[in-house]
Amino acid sequence: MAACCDRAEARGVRVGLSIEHAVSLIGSRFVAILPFTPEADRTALAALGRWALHFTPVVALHPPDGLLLDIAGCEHLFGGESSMLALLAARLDRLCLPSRIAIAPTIGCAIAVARYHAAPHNNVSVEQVAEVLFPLPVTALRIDDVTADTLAEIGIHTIGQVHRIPRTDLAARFGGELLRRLDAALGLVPEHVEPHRPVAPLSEFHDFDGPVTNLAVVEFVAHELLTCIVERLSAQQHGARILEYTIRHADRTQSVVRQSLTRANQNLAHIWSVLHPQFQRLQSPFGVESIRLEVVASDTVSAHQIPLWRDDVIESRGDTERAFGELIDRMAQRFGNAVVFAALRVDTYVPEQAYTTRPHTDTQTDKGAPNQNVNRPSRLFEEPEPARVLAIVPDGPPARVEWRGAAFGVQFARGPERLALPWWSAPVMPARDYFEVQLTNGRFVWLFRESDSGRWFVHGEWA
Amino acid sequence: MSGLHEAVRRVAVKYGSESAHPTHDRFETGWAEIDAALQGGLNVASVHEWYGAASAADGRKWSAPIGILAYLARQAWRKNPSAYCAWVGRTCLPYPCALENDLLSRMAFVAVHDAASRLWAIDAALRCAAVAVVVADGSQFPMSATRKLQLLAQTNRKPVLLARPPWECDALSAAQSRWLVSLKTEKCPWPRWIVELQRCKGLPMTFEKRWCVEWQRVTGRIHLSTALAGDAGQAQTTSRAVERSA
Repeated sequence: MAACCDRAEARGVRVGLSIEHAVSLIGSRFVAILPFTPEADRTALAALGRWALHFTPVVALHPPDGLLLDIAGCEHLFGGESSMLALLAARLDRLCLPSRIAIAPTIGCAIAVARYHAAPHNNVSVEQVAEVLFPLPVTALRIDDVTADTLAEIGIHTIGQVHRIPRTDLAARFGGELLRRLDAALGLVPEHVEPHRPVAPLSEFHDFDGPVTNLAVVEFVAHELLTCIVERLSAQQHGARILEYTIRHADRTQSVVRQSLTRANQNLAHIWSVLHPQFQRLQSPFGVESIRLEVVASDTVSAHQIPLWRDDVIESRGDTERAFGELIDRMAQRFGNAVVFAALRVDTYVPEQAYTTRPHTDTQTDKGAPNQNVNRPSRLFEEPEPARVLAIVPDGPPARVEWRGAAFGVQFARGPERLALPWWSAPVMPARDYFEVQLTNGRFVWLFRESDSGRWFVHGEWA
Repeated sequence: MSGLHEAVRRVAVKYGSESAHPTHDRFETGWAEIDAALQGGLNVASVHEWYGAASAADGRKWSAPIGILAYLARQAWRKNPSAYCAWVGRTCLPYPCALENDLLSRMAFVAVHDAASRLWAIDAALRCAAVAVVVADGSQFPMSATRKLQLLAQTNRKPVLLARPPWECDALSAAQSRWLVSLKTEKCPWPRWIVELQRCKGLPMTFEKRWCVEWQRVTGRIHLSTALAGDAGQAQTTSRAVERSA
């Protein structure tokens, strides 16, 4: 059983039962059993999404059976939010589609209320968000089953109960995702609708008369296709984010040249400069038969004013982002994506896990965890470096340190600051007692002692 | 408005009323005594070399003055907070948790090792209009490389803060200023460094060239040491008092 009607559900039929069990529960010979076809369902949902474009231009699919409509600015065309809600329900009813609808200030709240509120149709104002959300079950936050089960085990069933737990405890115990979902539902962090666009992807194609072995010709055609694509993107005020060339060879194999751009870009010279090196590595001993260029992902770009004096004058934030994106693209092209990165704080006490690196993309709105503790060294070693330490009293501060082949006395020591992972985390990391230590040569280092083995390490320094 | 100022400046340059590479544009270090000595702070359109201290007994390992560089990078970046800061060089990357949130969110790290790659990355960052300041590992850079960077910094009017090892202190360089950072060895409950200005083109070196700076636990920033800086400390205290009364 993948789904059933309300009447069957009233008789105790639940998703996951076998057909025989479900039929026996209904106890009737007149049961319609249809095959479960998820692909067909998705196609039908996409068709319903196109139908919903009557109400707003921004419609997203929320599989398996939901639609997200961004109605900001459209509601007055239908006489306000309440009228629009009633109209939408009536239209769906006319299509014989039972519906649960919620209008809310945030996407998370709308989804939670539509799927879990007792009333099928709701209009939630900004002031009512917390009041409506808090009684709903935690699963309404779109969290994974493991997190939901763990919360249930410790007696937390509603969003309100989750909200009452201190944020640092939540992040430490369940990771950032639960907090992010909660914040998104309450409108504390932005969440955007990824619109479902029922349009064909932008592409250009060239079929050679015969196999072409001269790769200079292939490069020329690839550049011409790119020129056409960029012109079409510019006309739509769009920029390319991901481009993909599919090159078919005469021996029936094909090569794919794919390039992701840091920011949406419609600068032909720049895009070709990062694509061109990949074409120089192309090999086709039997010749190329055809070449196709497709825009896999694109995004809107702000209008760009042509500068009056020089082309590098930064006029707006959009220009800054465009220029920065081109710089990162060039660096990533030369050194690889892993070498060019941004850093983001993570809510954890373990120093080496307290940040993460990620590529620069403008779709990321997460600013990371706040800086809760500034008492951290300016440099953290890639691996803690073993040291031999003498302490005057057991578990006391260091009095003498041997490190990197030299021995130092200790002028000043502050600590310990115990840092440990929660007991439920895996793998288990032994607790560490950190000391800020000034050596006799003046260096300030960050030492720690492992609680189980008693071994000492130097983990960083104030350089 | 910055774009308009830039356009007006270009017209002034075109008609000869202003130099194409102004040298008066400075960013404050935030250290009153040093700013006063430098006549307003460090030159924006220049390369500034900061020599770290040796960190191993054999003298072949060194510690880049990352804390000071991160602090100065933020001071320079604050003049144009919509822009980015590029940090180049794998061996002198800062611990991100020690950086302030605003700067960290506008920071691009380029973890390359060899000198040629670092030079290429600094060159590209300086030519990019979206970058406000470049901090880099400048070890093994020959004179020609520093000359190139100095010219690029002048042309693009951006500061370059280079971290260099102590054994390159006598190497030829075209940088506008050269600073030597050494550890303060007296006992202290927080890190302190001696910064010594060894060279600053365009300034008569008639003033005191050594200062003591220290890391503050509360803010995570670096301040001029008030306890042991003598006259420098007094100057800093006075400026703080003025700020409070204002």
